[in-house]
Amino acid sequence: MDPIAKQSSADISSGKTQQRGAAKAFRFNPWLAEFQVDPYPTYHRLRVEDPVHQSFDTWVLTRYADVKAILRDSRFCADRVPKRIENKCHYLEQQQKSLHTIAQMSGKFFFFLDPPDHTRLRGLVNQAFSARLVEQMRPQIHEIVDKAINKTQATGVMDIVIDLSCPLPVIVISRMLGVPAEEAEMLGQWSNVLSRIIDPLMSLEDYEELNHVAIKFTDYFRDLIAERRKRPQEDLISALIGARDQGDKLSEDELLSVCMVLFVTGEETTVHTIGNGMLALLRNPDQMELLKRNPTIIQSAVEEILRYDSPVQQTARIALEDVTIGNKTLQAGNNVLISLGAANRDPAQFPNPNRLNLLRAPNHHLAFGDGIHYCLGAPLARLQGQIAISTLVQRLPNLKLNTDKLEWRKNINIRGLKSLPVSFAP
Amino acid sequence: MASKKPEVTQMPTASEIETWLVGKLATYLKINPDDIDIEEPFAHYKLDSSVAVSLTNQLADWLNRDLEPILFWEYPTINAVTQYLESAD
Repeated sequence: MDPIAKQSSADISSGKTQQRGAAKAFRFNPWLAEFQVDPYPTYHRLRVEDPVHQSFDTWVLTRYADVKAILRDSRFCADRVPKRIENKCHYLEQQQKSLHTIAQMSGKFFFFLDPPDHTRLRGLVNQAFSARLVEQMRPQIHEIVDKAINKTQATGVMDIVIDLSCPLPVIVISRMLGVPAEEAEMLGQWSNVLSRIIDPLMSLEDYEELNHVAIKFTDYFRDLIAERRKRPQEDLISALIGARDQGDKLSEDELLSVCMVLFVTGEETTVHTIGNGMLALLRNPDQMELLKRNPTIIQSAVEEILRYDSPVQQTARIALEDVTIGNKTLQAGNNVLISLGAANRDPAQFPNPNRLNLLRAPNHHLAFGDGIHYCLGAPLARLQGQIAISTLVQRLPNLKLNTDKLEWRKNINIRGLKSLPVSFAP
Repeated sequence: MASKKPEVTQMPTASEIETWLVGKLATYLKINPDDIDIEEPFAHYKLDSSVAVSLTNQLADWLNRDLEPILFWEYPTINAVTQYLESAD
């Protein structure tokens, strides 16, 4: 998304969103500090007052029913981010080649593709990214989580985000791909840079740096892929190389792009599933206690956490033709900002939506999206979330928040904390 | 960030900041500075978000102060940015 071109602008004179008389509607500005801290009151207001809210050529949807419908509606196509990244070259002094690698790589990310390209690529990757391969990661995830907790257990303090949920997914994805253990740290540093690829707060200079990292990343994986072709192993890269669909297979560029997209989409999202989830439990001690006494409810608990404070708050689509939603007509070419965070708190779908209820059933949240772009990594994300949260709650007695100031990352698509300091009985 | 830093002996005036912004925008958007309206939301010019952040970095450099990267979103016209920079010290 490119919010300057698409998002709502606040009241011009004061820069703050305000209601100028009854006739003037509430304006959506996700860049305001209060939204970053707690977006839910804004969503509730929008959902009630203007559920199909127009802001320049972008429509913001906050109702569960509308969000779910659009995600399954073939009159909407994927957002055109790779093209926008390519266009940024024009602003750079050395044009064309400067952002070539990331533009090219992101051009093959699933969520930017439409059928039939999307169908084909996803079908091949699905073969490789199997439930069996994900399940094989279970003992390793346990090991990584336990290790992180062991380091801090004697001290009685820990930062859940920095010490555990940040390093976890990078190590997991690296191992799953088949990256040698000694390279995981380097991958982690690259991944941190690369996962900002769709962050609207990246300057042109940031993109240039990102492109340098993308070149290093693709060079590294090109070598690793070549090695695995010669000597396949029981890892995801080998499985991706071997994926076939009636003679069709993944090209070299596609293999590289998939490796990259796993980090870009699999890192931050998982970090914040755990971070946001632990924060929710810390703030709802009765639910924390419930989970502690009943460890077997962890699967249901993680689903509720995903609903309650989704790491991915918004996603975007483009209307391919004129579409009417309620009494509003979106025009072909209009952008749609689909608020998963808002949909997941819609009282029309979830009774008492603002209450954390680890036993909530049914719980058809949209944290992983819906339709053809439903998160490919959902099983892996769930597994990591369940193991991390369960282990933290079971192993650390008397868990308490150890700060009175929480800092949220400035990113309107992803919602997560920069740090989550806790104390516990050592 | 290639902008040359003028010797800042005192804070640039709102007018100087405005002129700088208009000039920068004209360069990036490849349009005539006279065609830039300081009350027009940046969204109308389809200003690329990365350009906005780069400009914010350059401004922070020039004015020798910390600026949030979301500056152009919170204050979405040239006039709003200028007024904010002048009033908040």
